[in-house]
Amino acid sequence: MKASESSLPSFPSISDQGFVEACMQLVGIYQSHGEFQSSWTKVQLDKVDSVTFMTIQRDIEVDRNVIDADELVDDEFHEHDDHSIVKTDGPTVRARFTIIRSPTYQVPVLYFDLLDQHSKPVTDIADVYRILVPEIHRCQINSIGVIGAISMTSHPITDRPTFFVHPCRTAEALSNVVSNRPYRTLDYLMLWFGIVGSTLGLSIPVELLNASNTA
Amino acid sequence: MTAPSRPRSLLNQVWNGSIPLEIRLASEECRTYDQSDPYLIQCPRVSYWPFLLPRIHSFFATSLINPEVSFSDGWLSFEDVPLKWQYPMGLLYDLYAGTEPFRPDTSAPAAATPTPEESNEAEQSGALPRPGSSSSSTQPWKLVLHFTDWPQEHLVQLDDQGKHMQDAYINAVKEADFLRNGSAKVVMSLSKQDSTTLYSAVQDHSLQSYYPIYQKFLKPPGGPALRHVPLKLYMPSTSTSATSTSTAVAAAASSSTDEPAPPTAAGMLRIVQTLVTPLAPGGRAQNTLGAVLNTVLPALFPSRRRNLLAEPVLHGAVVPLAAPVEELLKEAAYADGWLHVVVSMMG
Repeated sequence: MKASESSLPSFPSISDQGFVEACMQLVGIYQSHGEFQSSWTKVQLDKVDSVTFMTIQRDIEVDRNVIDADELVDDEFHEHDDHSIVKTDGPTVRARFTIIRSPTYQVPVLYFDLLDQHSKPVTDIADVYRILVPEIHRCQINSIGVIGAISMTSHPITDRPTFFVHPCRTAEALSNVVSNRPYRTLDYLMLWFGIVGSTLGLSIPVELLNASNTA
Repeated sequence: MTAPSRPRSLLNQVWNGSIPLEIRLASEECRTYDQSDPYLIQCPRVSYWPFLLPRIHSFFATSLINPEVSFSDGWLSFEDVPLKWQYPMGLLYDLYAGTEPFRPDTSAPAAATPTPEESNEAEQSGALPRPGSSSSSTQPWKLVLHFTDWPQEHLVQLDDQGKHMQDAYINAVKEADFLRNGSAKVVMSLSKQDSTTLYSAVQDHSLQSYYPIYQKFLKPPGGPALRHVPLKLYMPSTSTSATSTSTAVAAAASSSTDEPAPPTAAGMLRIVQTLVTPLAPGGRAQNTLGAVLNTVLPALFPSRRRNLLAEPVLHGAVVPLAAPVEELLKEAAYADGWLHVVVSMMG
């Protein structure tokens, strides 16, 4: 495979066009194969003021051992707990991820919000870590930046406070893991999910991954 | 090119620019039936309001109904719009205060291309809320201070250690650096001492300690030529909700529409950012602000030489469209290394 044939001449950056193309392919795969998995509950591509962004929704059942679930459990339910109900599952937290290409860093950037079962945002960064970040990735994230690679900012589309993974090292990380640049834009996006997404529990479900290989 | 003393002197004036603030405690949080005395201060345009919180918190301590609140619970609003703390004060003022920006002499032929020196002078005269004269000619900006009911939908929470503030500032600095040099290596390789000094300099409003480090950013030793100019354009959003105007490129098979609609936020903004090169495409000519606006927002700036529908406002003044963006960056950037330009509608 010659580099000149690649649709990613600027790797580890990606063009706006390449980003949109990759997202559309992933949405297509979700539309045809989404029913075979349960991890992602929504995958959608939107455009506002000429900015294209992909939304992925995931419902996470929070393990009671991972987090002190009392804070997240419905108070009323708690008060009327008469031991006849055996509730073994933790509360469900909805994670909404938005992926937008940064015009500065020219790589996809991950924004995310967590909503508890009352649809209230989880704002404590320590809770976010516990709910979202697999243990093996925690040290790695904490070592970057003042707070860590996760910061808060105003969402570029909704203007609401949101968490995001700071993109200043994404390009470097992408080029460090591969010896050959990805050939297709979809492969680039897959690689990005592996490097950035997976650190926040946003991995491509295996059913979709298999479908993408034949896409 | 420009004499060394020049940028220094204009940057000085940008740093000297300040806004008179009249801060009152929200009436529902005040013990006294009548409002408490206002807190009056000249706030530097390049500074950020969280730096004022410890002082204003202790000023209002005796007036607070709930004396237990921490200073970092404090937030400011103007006409019910919570003010984003990650924006420099000058940008907030230019966005929301509703005062007329200073306009350089418009009788000059608009098509003429002024030299950098001329545009500097126009900028210079406008950029200046002059010490002494400004407070007498300008009404103070009346802001309301709150310590309860943090507006979760609008503002990122602050913390007692100031970590969120510092994090946001450093992220903005990094991004500006990435644009100028094509990598964030300069900021990343800054010594711990230098990055602490940089942030302290902004906190203490000390151009003297800020300037040497800023120079390292602008001209990294052995570094590449300026790649891009960190420029953001801000305009009041015309849409009440972002997603209502969105065009679904492709919708998910499970068409669940349980997405809570974004708030119809007062003071909601559209921010436009694009890669701005110091030189005009293809040529050796300098890229001007007018050319950038004409390219990025052609509907608002149909001409690259004349403001017809909207005008760009920076540090309280309308910037001449002929101003080269590179010169603007060197002489009129905010303390985070960005040109934050407000697009103000005319008429």
